[in-house]
Amino acid sequence: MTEMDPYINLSSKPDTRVVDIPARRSDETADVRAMAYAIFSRLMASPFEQTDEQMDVWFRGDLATALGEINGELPYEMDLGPLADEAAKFGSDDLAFLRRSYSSKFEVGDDGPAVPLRAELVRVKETKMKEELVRFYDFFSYKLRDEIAWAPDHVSIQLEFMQLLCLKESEADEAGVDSFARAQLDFLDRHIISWLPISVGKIVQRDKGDFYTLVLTTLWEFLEKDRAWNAIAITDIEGEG
Amino acid sequence: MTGLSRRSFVKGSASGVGGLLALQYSTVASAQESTPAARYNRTEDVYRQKWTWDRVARGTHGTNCAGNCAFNVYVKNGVVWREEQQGEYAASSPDTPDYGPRGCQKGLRHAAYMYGKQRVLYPMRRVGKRGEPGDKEKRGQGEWERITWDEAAREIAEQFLKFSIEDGPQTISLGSGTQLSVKLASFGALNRFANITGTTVPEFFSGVGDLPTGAYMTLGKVYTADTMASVYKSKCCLIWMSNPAVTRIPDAHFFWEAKYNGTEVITIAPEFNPSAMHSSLWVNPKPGTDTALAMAMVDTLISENLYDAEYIKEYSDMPLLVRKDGDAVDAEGNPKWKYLRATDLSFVDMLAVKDNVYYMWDEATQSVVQAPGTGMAEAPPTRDRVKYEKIDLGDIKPALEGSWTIDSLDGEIEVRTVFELIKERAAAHSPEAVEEVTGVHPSVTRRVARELAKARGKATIYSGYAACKSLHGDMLQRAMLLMLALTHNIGPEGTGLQFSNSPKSRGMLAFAFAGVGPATRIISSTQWDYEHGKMKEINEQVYGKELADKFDRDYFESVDQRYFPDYGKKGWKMGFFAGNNGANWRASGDRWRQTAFGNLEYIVSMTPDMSATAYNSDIVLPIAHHYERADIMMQSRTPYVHILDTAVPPLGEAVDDFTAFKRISKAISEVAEEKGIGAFQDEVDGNTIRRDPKRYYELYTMEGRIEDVRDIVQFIINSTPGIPKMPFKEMASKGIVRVDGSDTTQWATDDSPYHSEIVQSYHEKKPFETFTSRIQFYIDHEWFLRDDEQLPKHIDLLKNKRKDGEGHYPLRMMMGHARHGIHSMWRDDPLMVSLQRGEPDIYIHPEDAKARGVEDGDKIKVFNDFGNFFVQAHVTEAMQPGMMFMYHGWDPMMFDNQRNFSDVISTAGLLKPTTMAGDWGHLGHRPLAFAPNQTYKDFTCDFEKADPRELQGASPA
Repeated sequence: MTEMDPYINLSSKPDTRVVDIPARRSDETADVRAMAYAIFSRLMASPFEQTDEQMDVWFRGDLATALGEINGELPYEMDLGPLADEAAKFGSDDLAFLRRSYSSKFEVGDDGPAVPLRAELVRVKETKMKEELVRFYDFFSYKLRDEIAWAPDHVSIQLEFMQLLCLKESEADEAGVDSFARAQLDFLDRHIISWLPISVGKIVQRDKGDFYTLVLTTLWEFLEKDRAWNAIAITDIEGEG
Repeated sequence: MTGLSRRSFVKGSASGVGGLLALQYSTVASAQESTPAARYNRTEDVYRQKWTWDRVARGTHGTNCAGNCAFNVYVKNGVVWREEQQGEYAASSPDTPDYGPRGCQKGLRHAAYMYGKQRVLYPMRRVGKRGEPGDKEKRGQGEWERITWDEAAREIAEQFLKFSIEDGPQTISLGSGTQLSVKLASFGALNRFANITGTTVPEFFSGVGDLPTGAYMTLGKVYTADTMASVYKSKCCLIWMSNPAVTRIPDAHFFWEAKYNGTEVITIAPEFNPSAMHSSLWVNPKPGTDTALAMAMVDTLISENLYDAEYIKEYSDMPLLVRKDGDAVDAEGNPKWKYLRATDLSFVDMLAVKDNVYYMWDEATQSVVQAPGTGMAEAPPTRDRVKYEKIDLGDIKPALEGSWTIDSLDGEIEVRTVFELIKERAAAHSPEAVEEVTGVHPSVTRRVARELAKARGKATIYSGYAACKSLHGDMLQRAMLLMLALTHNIGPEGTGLQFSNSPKSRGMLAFAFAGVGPATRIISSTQWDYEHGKMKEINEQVYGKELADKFDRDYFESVDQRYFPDYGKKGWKMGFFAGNNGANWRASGDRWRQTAFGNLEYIVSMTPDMSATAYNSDIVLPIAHHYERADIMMQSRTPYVHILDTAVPPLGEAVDDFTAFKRISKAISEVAEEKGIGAFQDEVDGNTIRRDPKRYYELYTMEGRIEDVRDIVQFIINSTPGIPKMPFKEMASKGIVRVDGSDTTQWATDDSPYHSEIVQSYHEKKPFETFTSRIQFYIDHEWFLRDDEQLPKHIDLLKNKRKDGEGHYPLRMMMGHARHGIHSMWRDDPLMVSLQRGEPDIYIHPEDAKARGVEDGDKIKVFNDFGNFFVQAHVTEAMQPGMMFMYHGWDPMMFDNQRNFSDVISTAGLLKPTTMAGDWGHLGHRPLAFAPNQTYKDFTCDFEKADPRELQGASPA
């Protein structure tokens, strides 16, 4: 069976999509969406990259606050309450557990991590996929720090890139909104959404009831809804016709 | 909707939440600082910018494939995207093909492999039980937790000090392997750590069955190889126990170019392998009968008078005289012959001359004369001595054939030549006599022998380590060398037994010992396993009590006689495995993992990739892969040193080996300081060494002067003869640098960085470093005479008895290095696996398959009473009936029930007695030269179609 290769089969036809800029209400939606991406990016980041103090502030304070601030503010129905409730339960003793839990699922394992958070551990044609990621990053001047540059495909980084696109949209004029909106939809379709369901499926099968299972399933719900919302605001005229 | 806006987040930032919008991974903190290149319309837009590289680094792959291929490594945004063969090599000499470009599919895949799921990116601590073979369900189920380097180093240091102080540092083993040994700076780093701390270093040359003991017995050296271009110089090349089309991909062209240049390239292998299909002739002896075939060719060479008498008179022991050993006879009633020595003729001071004067019958004077070059104060002659002595015959005209009666201290005795004994031994292996054993028609045997003789002074045998991997592999090497010696094919360019060579390693060892002196424990791992792995028990179970008792008796006699060291007193408590996947390749598979390996109380793996060894460890440390580190590589197959430069920083928290040992040393010193652990006395080889754990870090780093592995590379460049002197940075910019003494295809001079002793002995008539100072085929050590191994002969491979008493298992399983991996590295790469059958497979003959109801592609169970494993059947006419073949390297983790081929290889306890002989000239314990090999061929098995229920179960039958 020949695999579809989206990274080389780019369309040669003119783009016939139209962005409904008024419908996006960027001034109202972009920041809150950026915040949602930032929260999920931070949640999917390795707790080993944070000090004990940073973890304490994040898991036992900022996380619940941030979720509370955006809950109900997204331009679509998205209940972040359960996640906020779980976050609110964390005691200081739970931080070490969170590290262990994260690392044993996402970072280490005798056959690779049980639940990969890097696209290239899930996707085939991994080099072409990574090349396109870097091209997206370069195009929008998103340059990774040296120590993390080796993993441009990590979900946390891809989410941060979406955060960046949302933030740029919030400060853009109409032409800019058009540009960033298209990029968000394309990036979601071609990258995060194309592989994350596999990891979500793995964690659901493996660890029902676990905090990180809740994080990933909530993230997936958010991505699906955000993608759908993006698609509503971007219409392909040719497709309609 | 409340209209939450940027402003509210900014306001929120006072309470910390707004800070979330800062970019955590980007080089810029805020979105405002990032400006798109252009307006984005669709995905094609991101492809409009021309792809460029940030840098192109010089690199190679620091693995022991004996290749070393210079690559350009292309880097952008901190990622290695691709690599390309460098191709800037010249030729050894104007009349040979050049070496470039070099590379293979593994190297060209490394840019992807280094980011694969098998990578170990962070220090890991086991939180579950150690690997439980067969329980595939437990894999990836949270058996590990990530810890920090500080935690890992601290925990290792505490364990290290506990065992070091309570049990002695010798109870900590520091195993390394083929992924580390060729990276000279890293290997030096490991050896320096061992030298300072007193841990035991199991040498892996014999440990993996690569030690050519037969070459050592015959030549006094194991390093017999020249550059690869020497193959092109030959007019007849026997590819034997080797498969270069598969294993020597960058160099295979030399064989085929030689063929088109008129060289007879003849492959001798039981299976029709990829090298055979390109050769002028394929000879297919039955598996394990190669020595019989070699001796049949020896018989042809002698009986058809195809040998070079003048050559063997001067360079070999064949004209030396032997005498009857009193009335002693062998099992068949034949007299035993011993060399005629000075002590037979007069009362000499044996201590002064080591009883190493040998004699010839001089036809010119019709008298017994001392053989030139013998009788030196040191036996065997050391390199210092051989500078001054010669084996040049001068006016002596030695007889090759005949017998004479001479006076001796025992009265009149009969003497004859070694050549006469060889003739008799060879005659017993005539082509007709061994046809049934080998399956090779005598006409074919003679044809090959004649081709070899026709190419007198221009014929070579290109042999791989497979020649060492059977219990009596030494016999085969001795027989091969005998074929070559008879035809004047040891010494000249384009000749020789092209086994392997090695850098003289002076710079590497100088670094290991610098400032502290040599205090390293190097031991034979096969010997250690024998004592601590219940190997006698295995031998008895598999091969019977008689063999087990004999091997055990000889083992302990060797230790009692102090031929070999005694490792029985203290077992290992803790083990490091660096660049070593022992749990994959040790013979006797799971039995070894449960005994010698499993009994270790604490195991640390230092590895870039997950493996069965790491899986069974307590701590796994992430080590930098090939493009993430600096080093210097030396392999004698090309006339170049190769530089490994850091293309990108190590992934995750990986570090190079030097940095890992530095961190561990530091932690040991800190813990020792905290706990007030002082210096202690340690005894190594009779020398008392003062070891002070508080100073390990200071000593290891030479008081801070060695900060980085590049400092070690520079140390090695500066202190190794034969490497042009230049700064590391300059060498790294070139990638490859031609070494000194490389004007021909041979390593022939002292100024070359590789071993050249054998070639020099030929050209300069210096004594060989053997007891007789010659190429030595006759060995009259008591054990050799007792076991009838004084000369090479065919001995059947052992078979596994059936527990039910119904004879033996019928099928002979052979193995070889793989095309799609270097040992276990790259073996699990998805692309490499997809180029094969998607899973481990074993080649079997259609008749054997049909007899067992097996079809191509079926999953089969390979078994004997010792163990079993499951594998895909690859049915092919390329095999002989009665044999199976499997390319090696597949890690147990790739198999159902996590058992690989090693589970049926019951040979770990087969330590050949004569390879533990000692107190006889050059024979005796010599790490990396003379030690019992681990072997892999003396077993048989059977197969059947797999029962699917067994495949799903955690506990195979």
